[in-house]
Amino acid sequence: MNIIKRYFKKCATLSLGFILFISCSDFLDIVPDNTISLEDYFANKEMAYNALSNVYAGLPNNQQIHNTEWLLGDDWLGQRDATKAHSGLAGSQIMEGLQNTTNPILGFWQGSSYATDLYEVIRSANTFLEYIHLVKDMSDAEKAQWIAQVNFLKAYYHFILIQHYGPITIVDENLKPNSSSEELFANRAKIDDCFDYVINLIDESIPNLDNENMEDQLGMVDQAAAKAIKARILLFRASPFFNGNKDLFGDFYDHDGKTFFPMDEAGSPAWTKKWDDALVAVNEAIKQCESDGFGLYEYTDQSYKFDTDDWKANPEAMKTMYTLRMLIVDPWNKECIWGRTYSMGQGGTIQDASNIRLPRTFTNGVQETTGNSYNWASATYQAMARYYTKNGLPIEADRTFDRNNMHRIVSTPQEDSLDYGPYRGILQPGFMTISMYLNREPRFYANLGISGGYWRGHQFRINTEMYGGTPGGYDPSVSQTDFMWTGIGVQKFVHPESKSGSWIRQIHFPYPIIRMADLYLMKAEILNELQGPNQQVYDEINKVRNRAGIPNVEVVWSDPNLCNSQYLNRHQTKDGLRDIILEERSIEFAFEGSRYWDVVRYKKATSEFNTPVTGWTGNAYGRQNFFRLEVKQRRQFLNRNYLWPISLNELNTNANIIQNPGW
Amino acid sequence: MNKQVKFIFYLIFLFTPFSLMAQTQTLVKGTVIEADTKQPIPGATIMIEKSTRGVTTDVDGTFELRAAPNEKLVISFIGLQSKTIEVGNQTFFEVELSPTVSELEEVTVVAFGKQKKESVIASIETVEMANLKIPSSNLTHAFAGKIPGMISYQTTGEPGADNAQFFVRGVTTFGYKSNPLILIDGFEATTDDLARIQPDDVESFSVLKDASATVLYGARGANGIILVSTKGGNEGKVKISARIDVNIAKPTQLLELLDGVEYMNLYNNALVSRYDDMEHDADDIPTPPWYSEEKIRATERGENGMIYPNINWYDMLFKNGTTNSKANVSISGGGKMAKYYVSGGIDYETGLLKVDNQDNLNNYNSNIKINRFNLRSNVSFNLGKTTSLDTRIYGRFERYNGPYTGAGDIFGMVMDSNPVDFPAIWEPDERNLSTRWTLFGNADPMKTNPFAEMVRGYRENNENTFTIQGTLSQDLDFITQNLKFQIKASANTWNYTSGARRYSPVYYALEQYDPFSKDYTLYNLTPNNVPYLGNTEGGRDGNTHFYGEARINWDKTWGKHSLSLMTVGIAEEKILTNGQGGTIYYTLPERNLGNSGRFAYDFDKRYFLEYAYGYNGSEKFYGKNQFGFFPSYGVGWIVSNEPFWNEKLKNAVSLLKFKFTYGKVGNDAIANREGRFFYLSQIASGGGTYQWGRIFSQGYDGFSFARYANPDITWEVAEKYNLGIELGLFKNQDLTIQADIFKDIRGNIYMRRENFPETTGFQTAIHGNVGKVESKGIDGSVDYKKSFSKDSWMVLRANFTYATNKYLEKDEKNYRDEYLKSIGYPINQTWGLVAERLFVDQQEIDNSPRQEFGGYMRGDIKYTDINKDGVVNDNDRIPMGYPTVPEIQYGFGLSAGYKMMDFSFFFQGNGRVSFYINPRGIAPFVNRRNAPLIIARDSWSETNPNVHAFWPRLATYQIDNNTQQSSWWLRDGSFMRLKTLEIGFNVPSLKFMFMESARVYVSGENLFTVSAFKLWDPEMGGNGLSYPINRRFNLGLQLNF
Repeated sequence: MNIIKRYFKKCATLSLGFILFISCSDFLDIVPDNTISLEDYFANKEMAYNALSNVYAGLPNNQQIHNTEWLLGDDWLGQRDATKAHSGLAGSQIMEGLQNTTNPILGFWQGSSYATDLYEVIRSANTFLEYIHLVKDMSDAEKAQWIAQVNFLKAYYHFILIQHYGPITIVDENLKPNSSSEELFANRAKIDDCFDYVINLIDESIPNLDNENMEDQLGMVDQAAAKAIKARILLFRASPFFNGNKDLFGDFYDHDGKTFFPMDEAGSPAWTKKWDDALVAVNEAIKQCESDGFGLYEYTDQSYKFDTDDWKANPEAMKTMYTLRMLIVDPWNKECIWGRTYSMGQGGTIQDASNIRLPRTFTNGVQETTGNSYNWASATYQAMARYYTKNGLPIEADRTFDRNNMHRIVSTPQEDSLDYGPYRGILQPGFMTISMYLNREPRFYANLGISGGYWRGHQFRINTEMYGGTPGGYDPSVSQTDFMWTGIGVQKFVHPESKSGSWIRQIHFPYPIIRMADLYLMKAEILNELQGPNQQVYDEINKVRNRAGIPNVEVVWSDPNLCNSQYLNRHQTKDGLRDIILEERSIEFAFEGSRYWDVVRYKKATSEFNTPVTGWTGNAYGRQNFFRLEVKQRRQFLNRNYLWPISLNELNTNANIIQNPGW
Repeated sequence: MNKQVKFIFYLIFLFTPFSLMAQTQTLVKGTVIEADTKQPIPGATIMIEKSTRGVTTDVDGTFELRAAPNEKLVISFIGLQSKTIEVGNQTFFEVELSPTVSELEEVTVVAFGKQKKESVIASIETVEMANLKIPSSNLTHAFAGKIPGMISYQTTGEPGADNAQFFVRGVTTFGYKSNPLILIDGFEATTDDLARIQPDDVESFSVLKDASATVLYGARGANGIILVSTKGGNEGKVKISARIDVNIAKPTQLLELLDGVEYMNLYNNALVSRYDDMEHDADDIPTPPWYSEEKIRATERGENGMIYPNINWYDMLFKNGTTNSKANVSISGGGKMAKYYVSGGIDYETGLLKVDNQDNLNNYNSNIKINRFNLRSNVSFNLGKTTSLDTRIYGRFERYNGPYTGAGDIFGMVMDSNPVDFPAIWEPDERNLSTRWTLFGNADPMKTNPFAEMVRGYRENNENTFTIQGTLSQDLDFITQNLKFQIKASANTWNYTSGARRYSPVYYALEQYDPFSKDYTLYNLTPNNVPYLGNTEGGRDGNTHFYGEARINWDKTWGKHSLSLMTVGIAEEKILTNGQGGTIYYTLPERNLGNSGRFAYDFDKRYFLEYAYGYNGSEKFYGKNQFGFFPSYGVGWIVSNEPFWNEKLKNAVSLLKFKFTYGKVGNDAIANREGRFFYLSQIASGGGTYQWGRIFSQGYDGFSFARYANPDITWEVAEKYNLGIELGLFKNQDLTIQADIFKDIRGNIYMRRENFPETTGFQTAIHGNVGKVESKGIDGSVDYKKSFSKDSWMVLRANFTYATNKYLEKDEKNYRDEYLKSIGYPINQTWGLVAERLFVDQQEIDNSPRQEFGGYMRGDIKYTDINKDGVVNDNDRIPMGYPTVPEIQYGFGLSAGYKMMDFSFFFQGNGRVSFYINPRGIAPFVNRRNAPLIIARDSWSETNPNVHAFWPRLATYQIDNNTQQSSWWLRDGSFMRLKTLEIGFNVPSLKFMFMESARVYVSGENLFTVSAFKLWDPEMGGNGLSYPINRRFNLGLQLNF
């Protein structure tokens, strides 16, 4: 008993201490070991690359078929229509009129529906700028160069937001969870202030950027890229949409009663200044790029084995064709000023979606799977028809092109005929196809996959027919829904050596963000706006046309034997030349997402994008049934579609935000 | 619980100093007998008052000892009322001890101790276990309507997954955890532990509701506490008690679906229902009927069931009812050194799945089958006169066997299938006569065959939990009187392993059918499937939980004053694992540390004061927030103990008591296990992938924030007010009424902050202690007891809970439309679109605001553009209906007995509750699923253009416009049901079978329901397609030896 009592006394003393312990033991201080903190990402250069890649990762995923903005406009038509599925192909959804405020499609503001969240990435950029000084093993110059890249990207992301939303909220510094509500609930800034912010930031960054990128830095922003993008931004700013848009946004007022958009009249000093700025910028960009070795791409290698004979027989046309065919897919060629890279092995790219499946005749009868060759991202009839004739004129302007009979089925020249000479390696001989597939410019044959043409892919040259059950066509035994819904393929983004399915081997190339031809055509456009038509303008256009293998612009438009009288000398008026330049752009940059923005810049979207897109039947088996023109997808573009809606969620959160008109 | 009080008295005597030894002592003798039975009591204690001298009675209840005439004998026995007799000149005493009448009511279990009922001023509801006994083997099913202050409801009846939801005084927070803390013998337990407890093992069950009652558990007490203590042994002979119950469970109600013929006709209609108003190309033709006229006719005629099946999947898959049983037995008793209560119980539960012998390949039975064993051993030892050790061991071992696909999902598949596409199983055709495996039916394109899903595999879970507890109590009267010290250690381990095996059913579809010969051939839709059970897919998890407490109690009474002090220190640790892996944050231990105390004082049993505090620490918080201090204050006044309350008044009102408490209580359970390290930022690799270089080889993953650090996150704190009245009417308090009015202001509620615009660019939501909710209400009960004669008695009881709440503060969006803000509305308030009716024609559509929920046409729902901005979108939702958790819950019942018979019934009801039918769940014909009967009877069509039809225009796919949460689908969830009914027959004594008593009873549960909602059991709320709630018919037998 005593022992227990004594024991108890001890216990009691201990426990009393225990009761009154509270002095704070570390019993409660549970901290997980070895977890990473933000500072760790700025410990050394190797780790800091992650912070840099965080910022680059905001570049819109234009290489991804469902996320790409290149589906805006009327170039592409995807599988969405075949299955009536209500997801994917975000760009198409917008063009169909499905944009909404609840969950905006391609909503870069909040990262909704297939878009990257640009404000999130801007935050990453600001975080990078706040912490980069911590890195130990980088020189100040190296840091300055990285900071310049990040500043440039931060500016570029602001620009992408302006492009879509018009007036935006500028976020120069990161807000904190305990920031005041005034800081949190910022207003949208006026268009001019937005552009000023972006341009200043780019100007600030340019001097510290590298002149030239080493092999392992390809894809990083250098001076050439920054200057080229700056030129594009200033061109946007000078374009009618942003430069005094009274008709669309004359009553789009900020809280202070002033309009968000500038209201300058065309020709006024303020209006002209913006074009002048653009001209200075594009000149600087061209100068920088040319001195850095950028230029229009030309194919200099020999042909693939499967083309050896045709290359010998038809060298000039084949070389042009190879130049145009490889322009995008030849990685990091001199045309590509800046491009979007992506992870190795990433699926769902435009290349994957547009590549046709390898026909069984090439696989010893083995059925090709759909992996990396979805065989369904097709060109609309509209995009196909836009390509020039071989004379470098639009179909409707070329009097040598029989427009009335262009939907008749005709035979391509027989192999032994003289006529076949220029088509060698370009069209299959003696093939019954639609008349409008003949006598077109080289870009037509290089970019498209047509009945009677060739598809260079899977390391083969495939004779495409595009009809059901033939190479490039509908094959229900592989997929009921995956087929070219218009019957017109796009091989512009298919590297001839990329193989799919069981034989997979992918050649990756950067999807162009800006390339050299753009700068020349931008310069032509700006000069035309400032000075009207002159030889300097034609020269810039001709650089691109010559590379494309078509005659000079001032030659064909003034030739009464070639040009229909109603279009004759169109290049000699400012308006006519502007249309020619935009048309040239829509062909040169077909499927690269350029046309949509060009149309928007000139406020023509409601007239251009309100008619349905069309195509051939796509899944019909014989040519007679195949070449029937059908409506493929409705298009609806209202004035409100010019600017993206700000999400309902954001409006509900920030009462200072004024919604874009019409939403 | 009374034994400890007795024990204390006993100890008081033990320590009384030897003082009065002067008188001459004589030998006195006597016997001690039980007043009721006249049986002698062995082991009763006879003490000389104010001395340490004493003896105990022999086996025959006799005693003898020496005592002086002026001394007093104190005769006591556990469980009986003590008596004090002056010795005087008597030398033989026949002492009758009567049982301590309703001692349960006199002492109330409170946090860390017990208090005399009359001095309790906290709001504590003690429930008699007899009222919580129900046929179901899940105690939580009994809560609804039985406990004033508790709101409870049950949404599924699936055995093993059927715990009811329950909240003390309603939902008082919208934070992570709103359900009460459960303490079994002072040790935190899980809902399952509570659900599976054997009611016969429970000594007391109480619900602690206000601040005074809960503040001592400051780390978790804010949501109220359920306090259960289990039985211990009593000194005396061995008592054996056994109970066996067998019940049949049937669904209360099932959704009625279409039969094959009606389904096919309506499906064909639905296919073309929308054609006329759709945009389509000229050469698009309406979809031809899916089901041919010939098939419909043949099905109607009931031809060949293989070719023209017409399956009622409910009948195919489920039994009408299933049998469950449970049994338990307990042995208790004790002697001087030790007392024990040992019990064991078995539950056997089965599911409704009809799987027996229907699959010829495998032997297993995939119906739900649960075998559950409970073992409880509560043994206490007297280590010395002032020291005792109480040990409690509890183990629960559960083995679950069930289908690979969850039983609730299988119920859902009934709706997802249709009666006509294929038979569940083909009878073999010529080619398959020797096929070894089952020829499961299917069609091309494939659908789910619910029967195949049901039998395709099985799942076995083993769940074991084991709790041990030791409590060492020491009286420290040698320091000062009535000072007691106690330390307690508890440990629990829970582990769970599961194994599932399944095979891929081989499905066959019809290839050819010859209507003349009736021969058919099948083809294999899934030639690659292997119908043999695969490897075991395992799962495991386990947690360990430690708890220690040291406590000092001291009571003192002097004159009219009485004082009670208590302080306790606790330390608790939960060691967490997750067998499936997961983040480090999930598996780091949870820890609490705390010190609590109570000061209670009363003057003359009239005026009461109480102060209590909890000072608690939690691993979840940082720096100065790591510990929270939570005080409470209470006052009480028993008016009926005032001198002016004369006899006359007492005859009418025997008890009148007022009490008021106020205090703050904390809650650290504000986020899930992964989310609790608020002060640490969490950064994960990935999310910012980019690559540079010629072949994109310089790739980096980037990083992203999963949480931004916020060291200021702190405790959720409830401020609780309680004003109570207790009223006893008539002489013996035959009619008692008690009622509490309460208010609970829950502040610092941790919530996702909604007010950060996207432009801030945060990668993850920001959270903060920014919510505040006010709850208030009233709960009370009325009890009336009446004995008419020696043979007949009656007890009436009723109780009522009304608890409502509203947001006081919430970080929500800056809605421009006031009606979107939730401030002022209840937590479980829902917002919905206002559905006006169905659109009449295209003209009306063209002239109405655009609706942003996908396409719509005539016969689809027209919503009101509340804010008149020309578009109907999410901003046009207004608060509608009542909250989804009932605001009112009530129950009333009667028990009566006459001689050997007894009878009781109990009604339970919910009020002020709403729910939405889940329209996507019952949307007909989507992927050729079946349709509820009501849709066939009442949907919009060209021929029935009823703009108020139950269902809008038919379609064979989901019409998003119609499935929005809107007033169209809002339903009143209130109901009243006959919760229990019981008739019993008592056999008082069966001496010849060594039995003290026996009782046979029949009872029922959920016998009928009165509700405005008819499609399914309204308690299930919006989802009527899961495993239904059960109705039970029970036969029971209870034996006492």
